[in-house]
Amino acid sequence: MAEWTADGNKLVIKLVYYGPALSGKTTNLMRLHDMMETGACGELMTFETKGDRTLFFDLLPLVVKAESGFSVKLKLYTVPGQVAHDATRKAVLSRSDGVVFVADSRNSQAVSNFESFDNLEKNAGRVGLDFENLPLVVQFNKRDLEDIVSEEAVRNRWAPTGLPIVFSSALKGVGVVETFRRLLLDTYLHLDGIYDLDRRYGLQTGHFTDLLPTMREP
Amino acid sequence: MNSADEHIEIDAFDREYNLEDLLPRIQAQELLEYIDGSNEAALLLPDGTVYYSRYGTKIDASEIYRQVRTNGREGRLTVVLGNRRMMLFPLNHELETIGFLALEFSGKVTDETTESTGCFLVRVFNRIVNLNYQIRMTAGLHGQVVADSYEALKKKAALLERSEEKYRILAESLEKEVKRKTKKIEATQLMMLQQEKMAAIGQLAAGMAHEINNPVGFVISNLNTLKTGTQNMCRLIDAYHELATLLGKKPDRLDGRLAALKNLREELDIEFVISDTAGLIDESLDGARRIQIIVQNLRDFAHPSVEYAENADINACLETTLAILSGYRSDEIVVQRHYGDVPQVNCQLREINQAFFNILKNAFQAIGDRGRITISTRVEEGTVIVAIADTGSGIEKKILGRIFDPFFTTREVGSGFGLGLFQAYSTLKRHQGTISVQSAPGKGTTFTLWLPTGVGERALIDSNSSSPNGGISGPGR
Repeated sequence: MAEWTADGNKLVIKLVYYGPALSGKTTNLMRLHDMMETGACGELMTFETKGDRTLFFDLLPLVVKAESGFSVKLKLYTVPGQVAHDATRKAVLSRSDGVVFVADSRNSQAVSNFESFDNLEKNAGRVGLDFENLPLVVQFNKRDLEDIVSEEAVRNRWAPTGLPIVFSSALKGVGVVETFRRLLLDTYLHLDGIYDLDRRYGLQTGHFTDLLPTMREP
Repeated sequence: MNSADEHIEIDAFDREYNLEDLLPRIQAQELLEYIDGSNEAALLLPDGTVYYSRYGTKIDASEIYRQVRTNGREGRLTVVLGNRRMMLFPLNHELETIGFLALEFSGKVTDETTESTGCFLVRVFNRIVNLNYQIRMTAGLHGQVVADSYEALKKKAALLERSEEKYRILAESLEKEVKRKTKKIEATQLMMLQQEKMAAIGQLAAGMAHEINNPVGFVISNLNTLKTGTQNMCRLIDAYHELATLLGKKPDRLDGRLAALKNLREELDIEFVISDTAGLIDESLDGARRIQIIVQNLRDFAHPSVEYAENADINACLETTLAILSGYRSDEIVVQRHYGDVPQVNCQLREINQAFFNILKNAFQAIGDRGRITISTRVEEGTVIVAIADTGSGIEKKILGRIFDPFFTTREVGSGFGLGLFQAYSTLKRHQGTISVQSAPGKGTTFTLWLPTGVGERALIDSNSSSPNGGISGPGR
């Protein structure tokens, strides 16, 4: 649930990168941070990261400003993927406005992906999110590795869900922006439906997409 | 850390933190100490109001607003507030929560000085604010997770408490149930012991009937013969009486009478009747005595329930029991007795007899048609030891440990309750004795009973106060 600041001139939106352990959620945020223009992007805060594993979460704050002076602060979070941190995952997921599910493309990780997605659905229910209408983008990461599920197989499997699928290699920066763009658009549409952002604050899709790095994806 | 930082609220960890959260005034003061203490230094909120001011300078928010509108938020602004000329540094990004840093410089100030001071301070702010932000968020998250877990634990604890309560009640009722069942089992066991005994008595009665039937048969036959003989004697005596009468009054008719009398004597075969009568009476008396003995034995065995201890001759007990069991016993079974000179044993006679009966009955059954039973008694240190050895089929090793268990039987269902040896065992135990068994399949079995003398009264008390299945675990093995 997006949060308004006291003066009502700023909306704080929470976006969460969910997924199994070591699927590349933090890498996604690090890539985004590297590519962002410093003006709109705060520091990437990495909490208690030990041996590549996120124990708390990572946070990347971004700011979107409309000409009206109205601004939107986007906070990008990761959740700890390890099974043991379910309470933390729930807390980070609570009140989120959009979710990227970062799946690991390797064949060996099919079960972890399934379990994590199942966990996302369950936790969404537990923290009171309307999972059916939650902006959600599925990213199949680690496409640069060997022994991965084919794109066709992924598409076939996920087609019934109707969720947008992005193939990526976060480590190489491929697909990271595309994933974020999909999420931004879906989230904007969702929030515009609720808060009438365009009419009341002059906030349009363009303001969101301007945020995206124009940068050359490699 | 001051008190403001120590207080961690358990609410959304990722809420928008305000300046009081991130940079408490006392910290702002400490931070601004870096700057020459003789001059004003202040932090303004984004709307231009004062958050902290070293000397409490009143700053007009509208003036700040005007400056920002004219010159933008980038770079350094200058404002004159009262008699103070101050540098105004708008803070951006993560620091926009603060708004502005306002500094007064005395004397000649170069842009370089102000820039470097500003940069230094901004870095310090940034560090502190970010650090606080991180600490608050992680602490908040941690707090929330802990609170969540605590709630979950509390729920679980409540559930556990409830289930514990349930189990406690269950355990209590279980205990009651066990007591009830135990009572029922005890009652059933007693009943079955009684039934077994009654069954044994029934079997005995059948044997007994056979035993009694023979003497009774010839006693009746003898009595019938005696009846006829006696009638004849009476007729003869009548005839003699008539003769005696005639002797006095009419001597002329004597000859005829004498001849008739002789004929009658011959007719009635009085000579034989006279010689036979004594034999009949002796035989009948013997039969009657045999019946008396059998009945006596039965009465001793099935003595009505008078529970008292008495002094008993164990050898005599064994004899009585053997006599009772004679119906079970084929003629081909030899019973060897090696009775020692044993003292009397103060015991519950009926129980002890029953124990001997059960062991001997088993022995006879184990032997079948042909074999030998050796019974020996001796005394050792105030304990009478009875050994009953048979040449029967023996007991297999794997069931040897269970033969004293109640309801353990090797017989067909319905032909035995499996209480015989249990009764023997419990009886010996109540008399502070023991019973043991040695057996070799195919060769035979020996039961040895140790029966201390003089514990009968105590045994009686024990048997009334303790449960009858006290010896269920078997003898010392």
